[in-house]
Amino acid sequence: MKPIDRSLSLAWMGLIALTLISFAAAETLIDRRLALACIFAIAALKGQLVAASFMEVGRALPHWSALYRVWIIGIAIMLAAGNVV
Amino acid sequence: MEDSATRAIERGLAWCGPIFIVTMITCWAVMGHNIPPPNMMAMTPEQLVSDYYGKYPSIGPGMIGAATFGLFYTMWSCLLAKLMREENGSFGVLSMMELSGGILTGWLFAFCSAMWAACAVLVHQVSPEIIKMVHTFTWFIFDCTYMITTMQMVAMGLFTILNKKQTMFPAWAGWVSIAVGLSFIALVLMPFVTEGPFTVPGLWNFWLIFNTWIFAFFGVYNFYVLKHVYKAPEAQARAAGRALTA
Amino acid sequence: MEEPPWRVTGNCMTSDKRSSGARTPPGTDGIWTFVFIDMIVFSLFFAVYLSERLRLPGVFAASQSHLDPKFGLVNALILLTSSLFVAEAVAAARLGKATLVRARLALALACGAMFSASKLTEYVGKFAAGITPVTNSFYSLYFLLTMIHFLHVLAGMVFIAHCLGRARVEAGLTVFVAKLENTGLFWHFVDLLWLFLFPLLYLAGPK
Repeated sequence: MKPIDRSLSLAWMGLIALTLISFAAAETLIDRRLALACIFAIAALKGQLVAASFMEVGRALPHWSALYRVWIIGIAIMLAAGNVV
Repeated sequence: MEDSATRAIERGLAWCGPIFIVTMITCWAVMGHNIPPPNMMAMTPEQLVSDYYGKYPSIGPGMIGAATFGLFYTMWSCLLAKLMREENGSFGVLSMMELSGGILTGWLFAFCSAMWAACAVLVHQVSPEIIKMVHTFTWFIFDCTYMITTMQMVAMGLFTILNKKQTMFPAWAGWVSIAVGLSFIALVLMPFVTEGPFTVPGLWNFWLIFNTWIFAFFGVYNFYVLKHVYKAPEAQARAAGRALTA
Repeated sequence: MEEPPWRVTGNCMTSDKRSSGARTPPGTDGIWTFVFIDMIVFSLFFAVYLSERLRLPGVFAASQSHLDPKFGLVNALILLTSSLFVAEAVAAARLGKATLVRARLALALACGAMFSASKLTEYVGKFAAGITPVTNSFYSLYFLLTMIHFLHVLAGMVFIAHCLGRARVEAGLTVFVAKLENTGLFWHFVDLLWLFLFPLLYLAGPK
């Protein structure tokens, strides 16, 4: 199956790789705080990749672009902090 | 009826919204000691009597006040239905859904408040088991028939979003109305849990749902309705997306 | 004969260019608003989850250990792949390629069906083990969050199926591209939600 847009396929490969890394980190890292920081940092990175490549927030109106990106980062921080306690 | 009389009535109905909120907070919430309501599913009948109905004599009068003012919601909803008419002036399906929801929601406020008033007045005359039974039954009716209000809010939301000619309400208010209406779905858990965010006084099922309903939906639409009814007739017709007849 | 302005032509992405050559935002403002409000609602759900976890850390830890992270992982991989297919469908629609649009949307639907099967299998397993939404606070939130997410998946599948059905006739039209972009944005949001639900529910518990 030929890719229609190479950048989409590359983004997808990156997302799959990050998902597997996140899973491995959660399963193998002994230090729980380090594991939590890893998995939610990866979630934020994946979120930004989905937003940029699939949702095309870069082409959205500036306020939507900002709000969506801030939401992704904000939620990742909130969930990481909330789980560390 | 003369136009001036119609306008006066519509303005009166618009003010029914704020009156409803103020009186319900006073009567149902404060006098009724519902900030938050007792967690009935985790209480024995005796606890419900000793810690709630038997403890606060203001509950009875508060609930009778709430039963009186509950229907102010319905009157406000009638005005909304008129504002939501089709371009040709007829009442479309969204308008009727909104009105149905407004009638039933107002009735719920009035009817359930009357039931709780009965519990308060009869607390020392019937067994605690009967008090808890009626109290719980009434809360199930009040909370678990949430689809009544969801239907109204979704109808208002869809009208706001889909009617491109109207400028009475901003599109974001329509989306918020739909989202808040749909968030009531968590109420399905209320009868079955004894602790946590989905109990009657829980963080989601009471604090979040009631406050978002008041501030993100009812308060917002109240503001725009009041703004609209004080416009001149021509401006009102333009805002509603309808041309004035010659 | 000059093509009408509402029809996409060849490889030129005219559907998303104004006459000045600037690229318009994908989808309509309404969908961006709707998705953002949905984000706010889920933010509130997440806040409630964290507040409950703070109140009952033992219950949450014990309950999370009963979730199988492989379900979460498989669902994440499925949704990411489905997002790729939807994004490719949008790209194909901008080029006016109806056959490609239909093929990619069909694959996205298949992914949606796989996610649904996985989710239902997980739920059945939980119910069979006597775990329900009222077992404890963790499971109330687990079931509510994942079921509401699942409803979003089902709604997304309906929109995708509609676009799939209309693609043969409408694929070259600007209005279809906008419709597909709206569908795509909603679907990618569904994917985005799982990017956070997966680590929150399946990975963040103590090992």
